[in-house]
Amino acid sequence: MVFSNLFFLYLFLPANIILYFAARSTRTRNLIMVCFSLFFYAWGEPVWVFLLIATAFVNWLLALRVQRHREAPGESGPRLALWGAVALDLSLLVLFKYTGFLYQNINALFGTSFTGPGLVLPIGISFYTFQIISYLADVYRGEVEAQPSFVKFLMYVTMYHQLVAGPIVRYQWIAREIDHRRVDPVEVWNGLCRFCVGLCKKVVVANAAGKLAAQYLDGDLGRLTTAGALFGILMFTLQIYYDFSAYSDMAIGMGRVFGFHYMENFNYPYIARSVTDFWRRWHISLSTFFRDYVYIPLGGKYRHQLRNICIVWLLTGLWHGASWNFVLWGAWYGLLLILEKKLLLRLLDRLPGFVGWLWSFFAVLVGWSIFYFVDFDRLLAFLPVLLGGRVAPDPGLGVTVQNNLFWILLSAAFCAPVLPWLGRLTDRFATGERRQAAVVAFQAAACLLLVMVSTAYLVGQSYNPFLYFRF
Amino acid sequence: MPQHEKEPRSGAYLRACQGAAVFLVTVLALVGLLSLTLPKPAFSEYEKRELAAFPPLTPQALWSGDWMRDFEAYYADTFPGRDGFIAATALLDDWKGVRGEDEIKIYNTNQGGQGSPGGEPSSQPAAPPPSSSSLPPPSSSEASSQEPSSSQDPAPESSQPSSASQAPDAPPEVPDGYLTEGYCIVGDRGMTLFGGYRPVAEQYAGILTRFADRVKDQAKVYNIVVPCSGEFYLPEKYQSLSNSQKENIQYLYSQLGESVTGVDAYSWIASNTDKYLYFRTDHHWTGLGAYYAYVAFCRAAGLEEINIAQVEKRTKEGFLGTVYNATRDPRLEQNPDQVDYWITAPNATAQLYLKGQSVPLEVYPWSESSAGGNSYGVFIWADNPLFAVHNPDLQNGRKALVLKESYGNAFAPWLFANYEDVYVIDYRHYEKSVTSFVKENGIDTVIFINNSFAANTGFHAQRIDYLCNQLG
Repeated sequence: MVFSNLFFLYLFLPANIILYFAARSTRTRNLIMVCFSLFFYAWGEPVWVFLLIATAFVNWLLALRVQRHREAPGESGPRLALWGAVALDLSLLVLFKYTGFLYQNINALFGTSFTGPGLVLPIGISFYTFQIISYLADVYRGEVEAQPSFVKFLMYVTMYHQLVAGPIVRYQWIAREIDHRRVDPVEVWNGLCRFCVGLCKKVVVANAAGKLAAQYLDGDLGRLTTAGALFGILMFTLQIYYDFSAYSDMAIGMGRVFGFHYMENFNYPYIARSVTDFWRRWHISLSTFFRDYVYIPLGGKYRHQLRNICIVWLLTGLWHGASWNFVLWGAWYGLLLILEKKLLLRLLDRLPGFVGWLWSFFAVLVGWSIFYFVDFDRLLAFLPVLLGGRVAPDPGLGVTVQNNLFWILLSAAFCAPVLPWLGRLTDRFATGERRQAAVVAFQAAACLLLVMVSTAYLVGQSYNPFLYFRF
Repeated sequence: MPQHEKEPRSGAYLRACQGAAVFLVTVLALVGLLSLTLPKPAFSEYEKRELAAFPPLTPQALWSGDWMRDFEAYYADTFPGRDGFIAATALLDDWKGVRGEDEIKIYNTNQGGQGSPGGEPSSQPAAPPPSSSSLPPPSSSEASSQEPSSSQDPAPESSQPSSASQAPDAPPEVPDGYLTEGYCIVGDRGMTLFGGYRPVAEQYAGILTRFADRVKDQAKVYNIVVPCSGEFYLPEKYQSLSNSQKENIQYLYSQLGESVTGVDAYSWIASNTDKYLYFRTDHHWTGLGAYYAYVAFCRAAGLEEINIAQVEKRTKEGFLGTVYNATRDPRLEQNPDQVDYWITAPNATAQLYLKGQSVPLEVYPWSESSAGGNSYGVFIWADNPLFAVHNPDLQNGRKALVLKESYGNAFAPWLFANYEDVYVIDYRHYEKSVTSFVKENGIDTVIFINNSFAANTGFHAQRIDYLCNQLG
């Protein structure tokens, strides 16, 4: 199941909220969350839900073992248990996500024709594997106590808000909230608002941007003009940001409704003034995961920094998908970050911010081009066009831009922190009790409007007319 | 660690937040409740199709996840206020931008290519793309189940249609459509954007020639490729959005063998474009447009055409056709078309063979009950495997066979005035050998009539080949 779905919006979510708040004790509420999360996952993955439960169970046991051994100093047990668990989790990830890719490369390299097991990737495995690894590492380091209750651990792993598309939530951030969380109407309302904004971002912006991007990027690249290539990749740039950040918004929003506080995953990445800055703002939970669990343990900037950066960006690329273009995409950013660290950042600091933004945005556009084209031949055909290889009139593009002008301008504007700015403006206005209440009423009307508009588009997705009726 | 926000917490503010949260969740829950309890429609008048039914619950369907997907399709199809929501999206889409001084809007239904100038589009492969082999499921986000349809490959990974083909002995699937580059609305006129693909045009010409060679002792074979409206009504500065149909048709005709006579309908239509030859809300031509192709045919076949001024004309109002259905464009909605039809043989009788039925229905040649969005169906009862018309007022023994897609519907009735018997086969639905049909029924004239999109769509050519040559 996905969040941008009528069944989720009108049956699953309200049922979850009503039952959750009807329950009195945190224990019952936890059970409700586990049941709804497992139902949510099983709806999309009726088979792999058992793998999810089994993975959670084994890791829960191993984490307890890590902790028990940790309490007996001098033993190598904790390290063994930790690495055993991590190896198991990564093996499953490799098995499901990378086996096909491995077979493909072996066949290409040796001219063989082995066929892989053809396993279907279980939804969310990349996210929950990393969550579990962060938990194991934190228990090993003594930064957090292992969770003695399997149900509570299962709730952490399977929580449907972040299970499918992140953010990668670390156990230590919500450990306290698993047992102690309170109902706060302000938090609940803000969470619902955040969810509605996320829903609208996904349905109204990301989906439409995706269609426009495909229109220009999936066709015959031999006919694409430079303006068309730029428009197409800009639309994909909008799509991927709005899509991914929308899921994070909805996850964070739902978390707040149920009393959990997840990390912000995006911080307006397209206003970044360097590539380094971009990666502090884009998919923050992933980059901080790699920083804390790979880069720093490898030595960080103190030991073999270049090697560490290379490893981190190779893994970042591969995490995004089992294809060489993702490896190249990771390498692209690894290279740029090294370049910035060694040279460019000092230069960019002295130049006007606009220059840094231009540099960063250009790097991101090229990055998304590499990310988009799984087929290298198409990437190699696309990049020269994008970089000015076919400047020609494109009346169709002119009409498309004109037909979507307000939508494009608004979508681009909301890539900047317009909403926080509006929030601050509202705070300045809403000084008294009545004004604050009026703001909430306005927010309620706006949320309802966003939900209705999103619903219209969700229903519209199933519009499938038979243009000629058969008698 | 995430930071918890600190808001000012007055009593009124807390109560407002609580009230707003309860309000929003109540609205969601109430709509959810209504979605479960309201009567579920089985048919959509708006979309003219059966809506998804509640899926049967079986362990296999549950285990495979099919049941959940089917349920979501059913839930979306029967969601309360569905038609209203769909209408709202058309309006919202219209508000996304402006149409400019040229009053132009493009709806690019083709996710696999853009309408830009020059070259042959890769979106029109000689072999049908995989997505063409079956109709999309009801939950598909693309509105494309019938003509015109487009190749749709939303996932970047599968952006290039492969040339995967079917088993050699299986009849080619024809998904009632042909490939377009999308729709263009100029003012209140909707047009389909033409891609064209010479290899398919060649293939089409070759198939017709082979068929004509097989029946040349008995029947004369004519080919009419009809241009669509974009060729004539797209403003000059946007001509490059659509490839030249004239060039494509000329090329196709040049590839025909001597046994096939190409009928120059294009010139007749081109010199009468000030008349109502094409619908504005539908991709078809009008009965009048078909008349000019009929005149061109008569000139090529040495027949005397009927004088249109002496034929009774009837009209159906309020026709919103395929382009409107695909785009829901408000400008089109504001100005519906009318369907004029001429009673070319007042005493003619017809036999209608429905798909899967061997016993025909005796009908009047014009389906006068067709109305509203189905008004184009007035011509020969729309698209059926076989339609046979006998004109008792003629005793000339002439027998014509029209092999067509839906453009042939408006054309065929004009032939009633010249042929004692007219047979119309829609090759997309007919399942038997056309060669045998020609021989068994003593056909003396065979007319292939297709619009330029169909003549450039691989699966149409392959289907014609299957019926005319492979099954022959």
